[in-house]
Amino acid sequence: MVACVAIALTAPLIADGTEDGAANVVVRGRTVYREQCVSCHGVQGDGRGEAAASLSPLPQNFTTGVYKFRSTMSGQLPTDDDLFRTITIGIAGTAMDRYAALPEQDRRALVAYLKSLSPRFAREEAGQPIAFPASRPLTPESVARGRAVYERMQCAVCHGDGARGDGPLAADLSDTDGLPIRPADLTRPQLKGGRAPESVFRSVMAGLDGTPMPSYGDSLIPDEAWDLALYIFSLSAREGK
Amino acid sequence: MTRLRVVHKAVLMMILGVVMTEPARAYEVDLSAGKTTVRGQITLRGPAPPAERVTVLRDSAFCGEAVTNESLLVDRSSNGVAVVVVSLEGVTAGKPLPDERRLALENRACRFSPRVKAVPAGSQLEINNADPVLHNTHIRKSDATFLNVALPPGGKTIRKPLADPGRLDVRCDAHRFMQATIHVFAHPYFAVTDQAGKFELTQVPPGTYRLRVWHEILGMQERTVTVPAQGQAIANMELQAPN
Ligand SMILES: [Cu+2]
Repeated sequence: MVACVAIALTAPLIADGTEDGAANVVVRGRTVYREQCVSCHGVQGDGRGEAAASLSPLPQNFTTGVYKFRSTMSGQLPTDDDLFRTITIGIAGTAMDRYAALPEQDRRALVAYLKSLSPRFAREEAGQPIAFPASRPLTPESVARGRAVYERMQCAVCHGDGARGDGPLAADLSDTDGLPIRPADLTRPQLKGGRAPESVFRSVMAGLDGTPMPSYGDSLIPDEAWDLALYIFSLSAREGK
Repeated sequence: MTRLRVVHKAVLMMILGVVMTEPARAYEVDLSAGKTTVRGQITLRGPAPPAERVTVLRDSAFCGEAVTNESLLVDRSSNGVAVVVVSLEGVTAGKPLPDERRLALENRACRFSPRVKAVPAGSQLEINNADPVLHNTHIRKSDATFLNVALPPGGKTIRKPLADPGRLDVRCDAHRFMQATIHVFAHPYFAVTDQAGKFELTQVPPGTYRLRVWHEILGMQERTVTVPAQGQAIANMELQAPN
């Protein structure tokens, strides 16, 4: 066993498609994590770093394998690309910065390390990414169709009729840790999961695990969700931002 | 290749200090294994508290101003507790799993129906909403999200396989009083108590096992049961009433 570990640690630090390569990527990811992430997310990856107490929302706990921003169905693990995307673009309006300046290889290594922090990634396969429909342009018609979907799916119960995050249920929601959580104000220039129609489509279809935001992937066909995403995208455009 | 991958994952986990738990031994069907019936009654020790009334904050025009939390149902004559999930843990071979592999979970009148259910692994969960209000079905398994799906009025039935054993806690974020629990078993030795708190597990092979009982309010408890090769074994249990 000791010999195994020693071999793993001395093999070259590249993702060469072999198991030794994979192990070394994780070790590299740990080094990057300790430099960049540990102050908020903690040594154990449980979101309890030194700076965590002063932050709202609290930093992500990586040990449960539950991620908000995914392209996969609710309850499924995120894909590597999902984790890579969040590291790269950050989470708007929170203390989670964008790390696009880190070398891509280091961001990939971080993904591998984050996955090692939850035993679920060894047990379960990641879900299949929800497929995007053929892209449709932002037109008054698509926005109107999207508004109809917004009403039919009763998004206003949480997000409010004007989509400002002030629906009748807004003050009464909590996340799965029991902490109060507000629905997003969808008219803001930035959204946590991203403002682009692709990002909104993903959040609508996949839901945001760990929060009350459910998945609509079983209730909407992709074209309907795309129209909804265009409607929500149009709200920030209308605000002139 | 597969073996190699497993070995390397184990090495990786050791490097990173992650503990891997050994999975329980898989259950096997052996039709000749068991002939004994295990019977019992789950009773309440102490007085049953009055049913809790919860004020409805949302959609009270449809759901009602208040709902009664009907999770503790006690038979007055025998103190038997209904809807207790009983299972025999540690049987490695015996009768096949039940044929019924479908669990319909309905949102009706701002309640989950059924509220507590035990099913074999491999069952298909089918969720629908019969109400004119928005519900969501938010299911967690220990600290992980199992499923969180929107159920708009008139929406589609949502299907999800229940592949693995374990307890699933079901909630609706729009109505906090809505609760359900699903128990998934990888073996057939489970039952839910009747109105008198009684249960029966048939074709149990001889051996010494843990009888595990779970109740939504009274919690989980275990005792040992020794099952003879023939005849029956009696396994009663008393659960403490909440103060
Ligand atoms: Cu509900």
